[in-house]
Parts: sequence; structure tokens; C-alpha cells
Amino acid sequence: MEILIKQIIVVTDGKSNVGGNPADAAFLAFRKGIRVSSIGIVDDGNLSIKEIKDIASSGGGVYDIIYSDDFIRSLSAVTQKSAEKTLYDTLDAELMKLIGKSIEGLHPVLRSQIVEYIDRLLDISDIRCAILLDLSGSMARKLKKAVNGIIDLLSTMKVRKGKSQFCLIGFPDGNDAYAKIICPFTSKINDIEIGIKNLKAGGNTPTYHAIKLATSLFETEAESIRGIG
Amino acid sequence: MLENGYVLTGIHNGRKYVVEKKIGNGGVADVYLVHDDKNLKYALKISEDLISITREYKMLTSLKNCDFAPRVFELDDALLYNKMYHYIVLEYIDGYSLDRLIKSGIDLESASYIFVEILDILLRLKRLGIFYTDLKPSNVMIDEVKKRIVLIDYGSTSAKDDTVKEFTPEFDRASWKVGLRKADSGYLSFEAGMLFVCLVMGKTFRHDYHTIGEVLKQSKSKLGKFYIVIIKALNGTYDINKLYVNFKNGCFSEKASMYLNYMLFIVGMIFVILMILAV
Repeated sequence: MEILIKQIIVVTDGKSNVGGNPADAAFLAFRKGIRVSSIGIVDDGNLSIKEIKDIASSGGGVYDIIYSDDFIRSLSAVTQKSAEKTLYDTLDAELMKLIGKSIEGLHPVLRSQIVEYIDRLLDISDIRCAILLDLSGSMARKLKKAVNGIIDLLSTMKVRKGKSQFCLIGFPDGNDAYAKIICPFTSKINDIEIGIKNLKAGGNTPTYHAIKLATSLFETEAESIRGIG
Repeated sequence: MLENGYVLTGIHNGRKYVVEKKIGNGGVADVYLVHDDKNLKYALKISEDLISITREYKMLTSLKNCDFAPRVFELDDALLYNKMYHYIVLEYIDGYSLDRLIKSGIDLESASYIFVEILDILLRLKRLGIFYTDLKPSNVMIDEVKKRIVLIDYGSTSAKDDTVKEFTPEFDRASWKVGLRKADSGYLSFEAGMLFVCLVMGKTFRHDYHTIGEVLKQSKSKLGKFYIVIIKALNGTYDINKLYVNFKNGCFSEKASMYLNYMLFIVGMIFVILMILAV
């Protein structure tokens, strides 16, 4: 069984204040097979916890509310849990087709084998993940921790047998543009490290546009692959 | 989530448990002290996350003959507030976690005695192909009734060379930047070595405020004869078998090699003196 796990992780410390409702963009992404998760950093108290929860519930992903000290652990846990969810839902749908029962409908003890299968798939499936980093003014002090967290995640994913590709999007891009691609999808840690080095924080929080941009990036990727085929 | 006195009924097996109090929460799950209709006490671990609860159940059933893991009695679902929850019923361990020992302080000899037992458990798990990668004080329980050490929380163990699923940055080799987050012998040695430093120093060190060098420097005098072995463990690649053997023998081999060095030096000196005399 070959599964490509597509996911977006939004990292923010504030309320979205430009553009539409981020949860709507997350929902659209989810309909296109991309799971959207969110991590909220609560250090300053400007964070809208409801918004973080809404992004994850509309985007079919998971959320985590943390202090910036905990970022490394959280990013790795959210990536993991969101990938697990994708595999779980895929198997759930397959099972429904095969025997007309969901995983939850099985006896708890029987589920063990399915969980074992998910664990195995988790290690060998390919993951494509876009990280959306909030670069609004209040993130300036937390940027270094966020960058460390991302580098840490990349080195963790190297251990897996499946391929992992990451892309990094920052929002806003200066004070006028909504979001920019810091680094397009790549499996080389170097590419991302170079992109990360010159990050500067400042401006609004257009979360909606960032999710939109990330979604379109997954699509162009798919088209270019189709083009080659 | 569950109030004291709440009666939880399993959907599949139909057993009832009365909640006494909350005794912990780890990541995605909450743990409650409960009793059944025969007034027997259990620990009940409940979560929305089907995967992690099922994973832990599977792991614990495979360890049911091991006295260092809590016994698991059943896995079932419960409907709470219109949401499906999953739970496992575990043996209740009447005791305290290493956190308490660290707060109250412990002398080097007792710390090393407990530590050898923990290493023994890690090794036994490793022989079964299970890498316990989330070792931390709150996951080590001392059972006061049965006088044994129990490792709790098997929801995030890894197979050899797999990515470490869950970790605590203070005890994680990758957070300290001395290796990958990969389940191998060196990872186990690192987390164990860090745990020993915490036991002896009575506090945990944070990776974003200290480097390994600083940790070693600060704890050097308190670690005493274990200092050299701990340096090796915190290196990130030390074999956990060697760590165990060294602690078991009270670092005898380290001491022996030191004395041997002295002996060689003295013999050498005598030889040189004899040579001079002969000339």
C-alpha cells in the first residue's frame, strides 16, 4: 500500500488579522487531501486558542497549545500525530469498503493488528509537509526557537525509511505581501537551513492567505508530476 | 474530565469502574484511580486517541510476564459527552515516582542501587526488541508494597533503529545535539545517564540553558567514581550493556584500569632506575 501523506502545519502566536477565516482555508485544503494542523504559542497572551482549535478541526489535523520552550517536542509530536491520522483514515475507509465496518466498530482487541500496520506504514510512507511560520511582529523573540525546532524536525525525519519533503512558508512577506515561500519542497536539510537564516519578523498575521498559498503549492507539485508522466 | 464518583461502563465488556481521583496525565491520556464492584483498585488510562491506547495495550500484553511493567486487564471504549473514548485498565501501583526522590534528595550509593535496577529493566526490554525511549523521573515508579521498580507508560516505545516517537527534551539525545532521535543503544545510555545525573544532583538540566560540558562540570564532584562512566554515557554512543556492567560492579573496571596504570608506571620507573644502576 503506497500512501503519500500531505500535511500543513501552521505555527503562530497571535490572532489572524488580515484576509478571511483561516479555518475556511484549512477546510478547503482538507477537501483536497491535505491535513492541516496547528501549533499555538501562548507566551504573550495575544493568541486566540479558538482559532488554533478551529484550524485543526476544519483541517482534519491536530493542535497543540504550548510555550515556546516546548516547540521542539511539539512540532515532532504534531507531525507524527497528523501523519497517524492520515493513515488511520485511509485504512478506515479501506476497511469500510472491505467489510462494512469502521476501525472503531471492531472489537478493541482486534484493533491491535491495525495499529501495528499503521506503525509500519508510518515508517515507510512518503511525507510531504509544509510548515507555515508566523513572522508577525510578536514572533521576533521566538523566531530562534522556532527555527531550531524546524531544523530538529528535519534531522528526526531523516531516520525514517520513507522519503520526507518539507517546504517552508513565512507570513507575512514584509508589510505588503501576504505570504512568501522561504523554501519550496525539498528533502535536503541544507536548502531549508539557508532559507531560514535570513528570516525577519514584522507585520500582520494573514494566516488565511498562508494556508491558501501552501495548498496551491501542493497542487502545482501534483500537476508538474502529471506533466512529466 | 471524569469527576470523582463517576461510574464508567465499558461498551464491549460491560464492566463498571468507579472513579476515585485523577492520578496523572501524560501527553494525550489521563490516568485515574478507580475501583470495581469488588472494591479492587486499578489505574485507568483514558484517551480519545485510539492509536496510542491500542498501541500501549498491545505492548503491555506482550510484557505480561515481566514484573517491571504494570499488568493490563482490559481494553475497552466508553462514550462520554457524546464522544468515543478508549481506555485500558492497569494494575494500580501503590508507591511514588522518582520525582519525589529527586526532590527529597538521595545519596550516591542508593541512587546507583536504584539506577542499576533501571538499567536492568532497559536491557531486558531491549532484549525483547523494545526500546524504552521516554525515560524520565515521572515514568519510573517505586512500588512500596511489592518492593520493586516499575516503568510506566508504554505508549511510545520504539523498535530498533526506528524514529523516537515521544520524548522529553531534557532526556533526549537529539535535543542536546549529541546524536539522532533514533532508537539505539546509545540513545538508551544517554537518557539513562541523564537520569542518573538528575538523581544525584536533585534537579533536571534544560538543554536550552546548558551544554553537556556544563552539566558534567557541575555534577563532577557529586558523581564521584561514576563520573567517567557518565561522561561516556552522555557522549551519545555508549553501549548500554557496558553502562550496566560498569554500574553493577561499582565502576570496578574503571578503578582497576586506573590502578593498573599506576602499577605499570611504577614498574616502568623501577626498570629505569635498575637500568641506570646497571650502567
